[in-house]
Amino acid sequence: MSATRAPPVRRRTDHPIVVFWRVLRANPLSLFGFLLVALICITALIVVVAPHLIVPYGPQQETGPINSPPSWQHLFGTDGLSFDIYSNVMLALPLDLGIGVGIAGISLLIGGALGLIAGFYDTPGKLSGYTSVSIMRLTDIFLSFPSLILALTITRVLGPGVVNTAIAISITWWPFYVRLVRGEVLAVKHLPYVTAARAAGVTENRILLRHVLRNVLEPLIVYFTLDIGTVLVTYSTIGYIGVASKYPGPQPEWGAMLAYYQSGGLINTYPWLVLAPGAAIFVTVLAFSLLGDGLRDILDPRTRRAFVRGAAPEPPAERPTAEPTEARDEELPESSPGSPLGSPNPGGGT
Amino acid sequence: MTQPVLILDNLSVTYTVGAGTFYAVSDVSLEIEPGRVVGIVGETGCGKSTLAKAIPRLLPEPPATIGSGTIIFQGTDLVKVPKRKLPMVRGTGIGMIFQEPLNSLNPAYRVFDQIVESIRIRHYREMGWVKSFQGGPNPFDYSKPPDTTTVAGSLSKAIIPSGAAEEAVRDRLQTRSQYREEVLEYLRLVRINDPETILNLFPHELSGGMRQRIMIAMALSEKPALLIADEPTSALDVTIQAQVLTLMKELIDEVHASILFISHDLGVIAETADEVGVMYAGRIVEYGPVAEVFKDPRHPYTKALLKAAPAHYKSDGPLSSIAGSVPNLSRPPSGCRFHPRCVLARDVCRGVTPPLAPVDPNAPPGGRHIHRSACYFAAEVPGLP
Repeated sequence: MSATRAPPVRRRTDHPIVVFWRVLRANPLSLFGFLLVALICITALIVVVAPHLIVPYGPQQETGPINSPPSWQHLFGTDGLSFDIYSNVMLALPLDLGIGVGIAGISLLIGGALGLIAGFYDTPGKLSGYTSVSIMRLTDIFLSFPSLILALTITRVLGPGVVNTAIAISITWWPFYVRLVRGEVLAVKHLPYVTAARAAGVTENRILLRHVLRNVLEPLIVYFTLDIGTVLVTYSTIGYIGVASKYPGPQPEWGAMLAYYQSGGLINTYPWLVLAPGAAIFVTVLAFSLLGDGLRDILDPRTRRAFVRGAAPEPPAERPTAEPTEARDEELPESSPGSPLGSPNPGGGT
Repeated sequence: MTQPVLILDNLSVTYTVGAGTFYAVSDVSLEIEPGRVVGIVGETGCGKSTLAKAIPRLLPEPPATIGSGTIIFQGTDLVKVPKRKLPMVRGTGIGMIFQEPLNSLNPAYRVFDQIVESIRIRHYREMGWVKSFQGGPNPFDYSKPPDTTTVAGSLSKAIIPSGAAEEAVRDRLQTRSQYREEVLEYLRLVRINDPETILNLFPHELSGGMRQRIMIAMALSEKPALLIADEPTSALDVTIQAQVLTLMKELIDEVHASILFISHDLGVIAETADEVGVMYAGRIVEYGPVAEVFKDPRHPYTKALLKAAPAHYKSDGPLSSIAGSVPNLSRPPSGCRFHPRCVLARDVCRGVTPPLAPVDPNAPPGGRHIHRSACYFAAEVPGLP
């Protein structure tokens, strides 16, 4: 069959951005998620930098009509104080986005670092072993509290407010990352390639940061993007209870808005009020979840190639013909069914 | 008189699992002269791989413990080297090829990045940017012209450190394209066609044989003084096995390597090694030049092992096997560990462990490269059926 193949044209670049784009293009849902996240981030940036471009009213600006249904004048209607809901939802975007990414990010850094240390350096009986055990028991203690209740309690102690709530959630959030990362590290660190790296003279710290971390990164990043949504929901829940932010107020927040709009029978009389902040939370969480799925495919070299091949089928590399036995050994996996890592049908499209 | 690259003296390795202790390697003594290939052969579970990993101290300690003995690598006892200094010995000092080519490459990196990591480790050590191991006479002095003690020495177009003048150092900073050239060179060395394409592939896109070649290239690219090949062909299917073996043999001739070659396959050892040690239940029971040991085995176990190897010219009749089973190494048999399965076993075999003594009674004592057998009745072995 190799005789009939066209001469090889191998001008494919392997630049990460190009690969990134190829995977996204092959995977419409991820592309949608990615675009949505990009749109959300750009919007948040505009709201911060130049709010007058897309936010017509201030957060507590009286606009006239009370509890008016959605119209061109007021995209999502107005509430009982004649505040424009669209403007408030928009003004809440940077805060909610920052909360989600920030808290998940802090937890990722703290929990991830502790998890790496606890998983990799755990020689029993040595200092590293005791460190590892200490980290894990501390994690267990934090995990034994329901995180929402603990966050609520800490917020009560610290006092209400956006920053205090964020701190409270962060305190309850990092243990999940420790567990996740430690488990992955334990699975990876005994794999033959880690031993092989050690045999090649790579130092322990470098093995951890280059060989182990890279292979732990994939589940970690995916969990992180999915977690942004969870954090957002948790924060909104605390906002809903009314501890974190106050609505109406100078800085709107989706959870607080939801709480306000559905209280006192408002939801029965004016059901469209809850629609906008609810949808905002929903769309943001959805966007990051879809992005997470796509990132998993991008981070794993196996599915990455599979997707790239599926999206843009191209002839496998042609080799200068060697002796027949030699050639059999050096075929690409398309024709070697023995490949145990078997990429899912690379040529078959998606 | 050349100094042996590696001297093992009464090396014992035990595993402590729960309350039990497994005597995986017991009293193994071995010498590897520069440029020699020493084979270790034995059945599964006899301690071959433990021995291989114990030499560069790759066994996780605990559960493994080096109970006694010394591992003298180029004049330094590795048993006494603190753990944090061990990476300096590995790679450039003692290189390894493993038996699991499918999982021995990091799935997240391209072939290029993996080989470059090895080259960079050597390069940095040669430059003195990273401390390399200084024990006794500097074992990693590559400033000397490449000689028979360095694998791939004949290929070195290296990069010999001269003076620490800053300009010289700046000249030594290899660019990516220089590394690329070097990587290509090693890929060609292991007979990879079209190395420019292979460079950019991930491990999962390569066949088992290709991956094992990459592993060999990585090990060679560090120019180790000693290469330990731990069953490099066992996980491959037969045709690929033959190719990799041919490659190994060619490389052995080409680079005059000092190699410890471990295999359960008598044929592989016969083809590659100069000297062979036959291991049984953690001990070396027979040692000597390959031709002598295989032509004229002087230990009942070696004899039985050779008989059990299927011969392609004899297709009729059942395959012969050794009666009994491998002893449990947590409670090894007293005396000679083979005595429960041995046809020659007598009372003395149960009592005292026979020493590894020269087969030829006229041989000068202390010779480590002559044919030796750990059997009291070595003289009777040739008469066995």
